[in-house]
Amino acid sequence: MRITQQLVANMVRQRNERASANLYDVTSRVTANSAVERPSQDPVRATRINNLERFAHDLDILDTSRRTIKSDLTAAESLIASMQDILVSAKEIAIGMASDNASDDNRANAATEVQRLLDQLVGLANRRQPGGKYIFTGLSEGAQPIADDGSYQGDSGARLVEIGPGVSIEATITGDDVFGPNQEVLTSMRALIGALTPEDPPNPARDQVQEIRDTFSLLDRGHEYITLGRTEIGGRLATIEDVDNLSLDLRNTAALEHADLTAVDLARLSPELSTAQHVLTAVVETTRSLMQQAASSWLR
Amino acid sequence: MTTLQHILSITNSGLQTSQAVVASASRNIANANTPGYAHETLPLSSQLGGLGVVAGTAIASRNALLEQGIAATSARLGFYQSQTNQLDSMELAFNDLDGTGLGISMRDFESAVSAVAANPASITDRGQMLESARSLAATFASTRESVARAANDANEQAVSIAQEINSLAQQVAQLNSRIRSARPGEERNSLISQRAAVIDSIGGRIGVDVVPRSDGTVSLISSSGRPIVDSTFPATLAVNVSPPPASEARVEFVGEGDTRLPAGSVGGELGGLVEFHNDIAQPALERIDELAYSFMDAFNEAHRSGFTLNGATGYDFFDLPSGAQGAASKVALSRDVDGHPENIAAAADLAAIPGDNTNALVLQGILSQDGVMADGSSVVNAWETLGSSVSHTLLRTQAGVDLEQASLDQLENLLASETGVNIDEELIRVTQANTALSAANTVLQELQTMTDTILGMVG
Repeated sequence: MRITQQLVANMVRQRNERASANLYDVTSRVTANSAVERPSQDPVRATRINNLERFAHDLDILDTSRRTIKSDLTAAESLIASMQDILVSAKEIAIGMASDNASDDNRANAATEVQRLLDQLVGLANRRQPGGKYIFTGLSEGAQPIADDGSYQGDSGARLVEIGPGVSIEATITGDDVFGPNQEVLTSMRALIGALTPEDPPNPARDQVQEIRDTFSLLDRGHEYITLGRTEIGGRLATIEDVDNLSLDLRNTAALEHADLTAVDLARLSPELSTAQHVLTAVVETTRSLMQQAASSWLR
Repeated sequence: MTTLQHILSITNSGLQTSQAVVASASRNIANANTPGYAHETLPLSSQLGGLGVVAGTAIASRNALLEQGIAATSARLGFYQSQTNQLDSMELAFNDLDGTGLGISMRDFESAVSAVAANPASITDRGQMLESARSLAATFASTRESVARAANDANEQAVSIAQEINSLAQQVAQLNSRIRSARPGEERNSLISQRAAVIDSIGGRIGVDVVPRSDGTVSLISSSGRPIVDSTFPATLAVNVSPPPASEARVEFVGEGDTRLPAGSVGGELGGLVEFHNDIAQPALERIDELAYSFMDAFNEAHRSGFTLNGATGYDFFDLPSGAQGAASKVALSRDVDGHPENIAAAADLAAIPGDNTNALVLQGILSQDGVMADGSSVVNAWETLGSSVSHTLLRTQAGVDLEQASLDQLENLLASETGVNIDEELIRVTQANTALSAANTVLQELQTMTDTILGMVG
């Protein structure tokens, strides 16, 4: 091949451009935050990263849903635990008053105490969440569950919410779940109040002790319903707990894979960078030599 | 018989030829790095009657085949390079990897709708859903703007390149005119070298076939078969962009009285930019508009069938524009829901308000729901496919740039090897000419001595 000035200039330019571009490319990859910053750098890897990020995002959505439901259910469980205590107290009072030793005054005072407990229970049932909604009303979250007249104002509707991949649970709690299908929790306490309250005028034929004893089974059934409700909510919370763990595992797996796909492999790039630097230095040196030779030719 | 007159004549021809050779070598050395210059050689022949040597007309060592190859490769390189530059900036609009793209906004919106589905009675979550919808609208608009800007940039560059081509075509025509009237030799070769450099520049910009003519001029023919330069007549090109909706960039020949003739398909940077505008950016813009319109339409349809917190129904969520054109820049909340989070229709059952989330779940799935787009795909899939298509096109053009650049380098090296100037060769020619000059000088000195001797003998 005939070596001409243009050929030398071309080759110097081409090799300079190539060496500089290579150094720039390797430097960019070393200093990049991610191995793939743009899809065109590696479309297949970019698609996988996008899919993983979408998956992580879907997990985020489910996490948020779980947090919301968990907050409601935890509050509900705490309220139900207090209601259970109230029923236990009512039962204790009933047992205490189901004796011939209790006077009418004792029973009247006990009736007042049970009424106070009932008010307390209704207060718990009607407690609003920070967002303003009621918990024990099914889907009628804007309605107070127990009306002033003691009737249940909620419905039996349920809201299903997905909390994990393919896992949905009911996010709502109905009055049936907590108070019994016929509000046995409330009616049993009302029955106890009735049994404790003296008749006016007194009825000598009345067997008040038996009446009070008759409320035992009602109170027990109420307690049973509320316990079932608590168990049901506990079960949902346990499911949430399980899904939390599953979600954490999935998230960790996705994060590891994401890191694999996006991590800049400095161990591999370091020698590449060094080579690119040496190549560029060699090209610059060669250019210098060639230019010196050319200058010498001119001077000759 | 050889006379003194003969000897003087032969010596004189040797002196003149040596000077011509030195002058030719000097021109070569001086133009060693001039673009388009082809080294010249001086053919020497003996004068009739044995009266010395004569230098012929300087011949430039050109290679038409390689020059054509370089012009064609430059055109393809220009084509791919211009598209790569545009796609490089356009890809940023489709890049979700940096956490800011439309895909990310869609996910955020899905999250916000999901929060409402989990807690439909919450006014706070509903407010956040409206805020997220506004953010999605802004991202739709900014994405469309980025693509529209890329299309617009391509047009502006195409217009500017067309003007450059016109100017270069005039230069070629003028050079053709001068070449036709120039005497063969140094001046003509120099003009041909200048023309070669200008044709090189035109080739990269539009892609031309160089057709030499018998009078030394050339015609430059575009890939559509129409001449950009016909000997000494330059054509005038213009880029015309038709208005939306079917916005199309076209290269046209401007005739007398501003008459326009379509130039058909052209190559080079200009062809790359026009194709980018018509076949990449414009369809992408239309697709983004279609995405926005189809999404809003489907979302509204689902929203209208649901019930608000107050039990109202039939409300649109988005203010749907009259048509798909420009829809991505017109995404906005309807007056019914803007500022009224309670009017988000999360419930499907009037009797189950406010806890029913059935319609919110439907709304949450709209972005990923197949069949929302006219081609049966979902909005999310259509967006990902569009981004992927842009990235693959960019990869293809980058590969084209790499391939054509390598070919061009190779062809340029071959041409430089064949037609370029080798300083050592030129120095040898100068040395040879110097030696010839010395010889002629010696002959003259001997002639002087002989003449002096003869005059001394006579005197």
